[in-house]
Amino acid sequence: MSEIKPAEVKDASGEERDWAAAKVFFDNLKSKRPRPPKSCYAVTIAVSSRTLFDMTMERKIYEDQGLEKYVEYQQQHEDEPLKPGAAFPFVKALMTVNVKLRQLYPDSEELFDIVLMTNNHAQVGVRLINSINHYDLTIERFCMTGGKSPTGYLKAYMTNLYLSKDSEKVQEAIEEGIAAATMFTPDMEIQLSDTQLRVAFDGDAVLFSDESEIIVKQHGLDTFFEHEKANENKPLAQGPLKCFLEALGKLQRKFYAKNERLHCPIRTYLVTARSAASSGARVLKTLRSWGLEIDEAIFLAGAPKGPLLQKIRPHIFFDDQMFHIEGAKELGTIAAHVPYGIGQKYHKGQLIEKTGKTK
Amino acid sequence: MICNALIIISVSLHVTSQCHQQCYLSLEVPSARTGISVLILARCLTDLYLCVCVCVCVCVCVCVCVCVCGWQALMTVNARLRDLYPESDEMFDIVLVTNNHAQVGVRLINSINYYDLTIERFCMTGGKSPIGYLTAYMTDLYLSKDSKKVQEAIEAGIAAATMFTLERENDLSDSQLRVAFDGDAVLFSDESEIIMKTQGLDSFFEHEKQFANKPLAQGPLKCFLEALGKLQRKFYSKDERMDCPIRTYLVTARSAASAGARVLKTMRSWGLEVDEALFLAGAPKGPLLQKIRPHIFFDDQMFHIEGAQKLGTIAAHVPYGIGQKYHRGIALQPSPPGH
Repeated sequence: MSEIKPAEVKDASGEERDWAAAKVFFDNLKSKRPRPPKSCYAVTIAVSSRTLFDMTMERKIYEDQGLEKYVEYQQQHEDEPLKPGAAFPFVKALMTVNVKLRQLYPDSEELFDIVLMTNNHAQVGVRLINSINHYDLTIERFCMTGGKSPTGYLKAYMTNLYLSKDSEKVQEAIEEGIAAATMFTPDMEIQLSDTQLRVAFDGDAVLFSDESEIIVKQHGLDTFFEHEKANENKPLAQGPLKCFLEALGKLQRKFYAKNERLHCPIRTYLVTARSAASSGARVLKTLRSWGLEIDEAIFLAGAPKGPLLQKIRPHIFFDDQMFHIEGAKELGTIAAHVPYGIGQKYHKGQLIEKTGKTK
Repeated sequence: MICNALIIISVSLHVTSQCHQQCYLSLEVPSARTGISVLILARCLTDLYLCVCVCVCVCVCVCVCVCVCGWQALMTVNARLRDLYPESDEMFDIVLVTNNHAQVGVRLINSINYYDLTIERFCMTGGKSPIGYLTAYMTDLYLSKDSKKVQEAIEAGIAAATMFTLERENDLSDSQLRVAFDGDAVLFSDESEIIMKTQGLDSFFEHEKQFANKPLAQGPLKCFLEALGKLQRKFYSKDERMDCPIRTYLVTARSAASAGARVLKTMRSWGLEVDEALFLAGAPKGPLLQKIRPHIFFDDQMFHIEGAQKLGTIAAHVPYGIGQKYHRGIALQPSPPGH
C-alpha cells in the first residue's frame, strides 16, 4: 500500500480542492426565492407548531386516542391547511419586515429567520409543510424531534426567541439563557397592522431582572420607592427578554440608517406597572446605559394593562405575571408569559403554592 | 448459527513510538442470516513487518485505542433485545474484516480481549480485498478507513462508509444507539442533487414541488436504515417506544417548505420512519450534530463531514453520487451512481 501512497497524496490535495469548491458552490447557491439567512447574522425566532397553527382539535385527538391515531388523523387531513395560531400574526409581521429589509439591503443576512421547532412526529411534517406553503410563509428550517424536547437544538440554531405553548419547555429555555415565552390565544380577535411589527414588553422580570419586584413583594411599595430613588443611577440587571429587544433594536437601526425612522416597520413598547415619578427614572436610565431605545414607554402606576394594549395592538406582548396576561387576553391582545422571577410564586398579590405545570 | 452480541467499534489509533507506517487490519467474520453485520476495517499501526505485495509495514509500537462508547450502546441494544426476545437471533452482529496477514491476528485477538469486546468472528484475507466476502456474509453495513474499498462495496450494493478519526470527541450515550443520516445521496439517490448542481436551486425547488408525490430512488444507506427500523419495531411491539435504545435522525440541508414534503412522502412510501427530522435549509450541520451526539453520522459531502468533525461528531463519508465529482466550482457531467 505504501507504494501507491505518493500518488494518493497528490490526488488528495486535488480532491480537497474539489471539496472546497463544492462547499463554496453550496454556500453561494442563489435562487429567486429568498434563501434563509445564516444563523449567526440573523435574528432567529423558533416557534412551535402549536403556536404557529391552531391545533387544539388535533391535540385533543392525541390526548384522548394516543399517538398512532393522531399521526393517522394528520396524514388523512394532510392536504387541509391548519388554521392560524397565536404566533401566526407575529410571524407574518416578521416576514413583512424581512421584505422591507431585503429591499433596502439586498445582500444582507441580518434578517429574521424563523425555525419551526416541534416535538411532533416526522410524518406530521407533511401537513405542516402544506399549511406553511398555503399561507405563503417562508419557513425553511424545521426540527421535528419525534417526542424529545427541542430545547437542546435552540442553542445550536443561535435562537434569539423561542415561543411555545408548553411552559415547561419555555422554562428550560429560559434557564439556558434563551429568551422564551409561553403563548396564549386571545379570547377575541382584533385587527392588527400588517405593515408594522409591534412588540410590547413588560419591564420588571421581562426586560429587567426581578430584583425590584422582590422588594415590592417582600417589603411593600414604600420600601420599593425608596430603594428605586436611592439606586436611580445604578442600572438594573438584565432580564430574559433584554437580548431580544437588543436584536430588534439592531434591525431598527438599519432602517434609521436609510432615513426610514418615521416609517420604521418595527415598533417597540414598554408597558409597565411602575409609577413614573417614583420609580420611572431608573428604568429609563438603565435602558440608556444598555444603549437600547424603546419607541413608546407607558407607565401605568398600577392601572390595568388590558385597555392600553387594546389600543396599541401589538403582535405580541410579553409579561411575567399571569394576571396581566389574562387581562390582556380578555381584550384581544396576543400575550406571552415569561416564566421568570418571583412573580411566578404570586397571584394577584397572594403567595401561591407552586403547582406542577401540566402540558 | 447463533450470533453473539456484537458492536460497532471505531478504532482510533495512537502512535506511541517514532516510526510508523500503516498497514490494514480487517477482520471479517461470517454473519448470521438474521443478524446485522457490521464489518470494520481497522487501519492501525503495527510493529509487524509484512512481506505482502499489497501491504508493507514496519514494526512500530502501537496502542490500539478503541472507542468504547459505540460499543456500549450496541451492547445495550443487544442486551435489551435478548431480554425481550430470548429466543430471537435478530440483533447486532459484528465482524472484523481485514486484508491483513493471519499472524497479525494474534495481536488483534489480544487487543480485543484486553478491551473486553465480544468479537468472535474474524476474516483475515491476507492481502486480498475483502469485498467479495461482504455479500456472501449478508453484510448490512461496512465501515472502513479505505475509501476505495468503501466505493467497491457501494458499487456492489452494500451500505458502506469511510470513517475518519477525530481529534476530540463528544460524550456519547451508552444506553441509546444514535445514528444520523444525511438525505440526498445517502438515504436517497442523488437525482435531486444532480438537478441542483447542473440546473440551480430554482429548478430544484420546482422539480421537487412537481414531483412531491413521486418517491425518490433509494440511496446506499437506505437498507441500513431499514435494518435499524426492523429492530426498532421489535421494541415498539413490546411497548418500549418511549424508551427505545435505537434512535435515528435525518439531518438534511434541504429546505422544509420548498423541498421537504417529497422526502417525508418518500420515507412513508418505503414504510420507514426516522425518529427526528431536521431540515436545515443550508445552515451548518456541525452545531446540531453536536447537540444530537450520534454514534455515527453519514454524509456524502466532505465539507459536511469536516464541519461535523470540528465539533466532535463521529462522521463517516459515503462516496456516492455527483457530490464526489466536483471541480473548481463547476459541475461535472452527472456521473453514474457510485463512481
